[in-house]
Amino acid sequence: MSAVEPLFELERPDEVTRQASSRLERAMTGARSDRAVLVVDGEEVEVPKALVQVLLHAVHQQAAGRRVRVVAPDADEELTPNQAAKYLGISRPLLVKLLDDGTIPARHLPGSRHRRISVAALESYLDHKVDRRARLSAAMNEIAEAGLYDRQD
Amino acid sequence: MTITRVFADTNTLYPFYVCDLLLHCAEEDLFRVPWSEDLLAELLEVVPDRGARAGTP
Repeated sequence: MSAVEPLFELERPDEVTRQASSRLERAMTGARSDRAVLVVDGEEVEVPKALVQVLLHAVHQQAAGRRVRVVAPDADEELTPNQAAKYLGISRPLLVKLLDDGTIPARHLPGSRHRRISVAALESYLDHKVDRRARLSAAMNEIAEAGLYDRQD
Repeated sequence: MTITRVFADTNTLYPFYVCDLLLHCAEEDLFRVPWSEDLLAELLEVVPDRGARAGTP
């Protein structure tokens, strides 16, 4: 088993993975019970029902050849600036500006210039952004409905 | 290094299609736009059908 990371991404699947996902999806959707068991080193371990749903979502998308991203918005794991930039889908220089700005809070490693950013801080930045963008769009829609958007006099 | 601050004078906040573009760019963190009460007051004067047209652009 590989190491656990706060941002987990499955790439577009190869043909073998796609077909295996497709078989698993068919088996799961056709099942009479929603109970699932993992066999780890010969020992049976019950899979929580909620996680069966996560698995079902993942195999459904992978069977269709799509990427899957598993995000833990409340994770207290911390990311390096590189990982944080990747998480947000922005460049590293822009992320550094947002950290220097204080827009995204970061923690300095003791006695070092290096910084760590919590996943929660990144999620709160994204929430804030979505919220402000929605309010700006709503304001502009109102302006357009009042017939003022294109006026220049 | 921090994000560049850009002063938006009233003539960049009206017409509204320019304002929309400017604020969406700011929203994408291309730059920060500082606000002031004076700026908003001047904007209200410029907008048609809203009081005296003192600051016609």
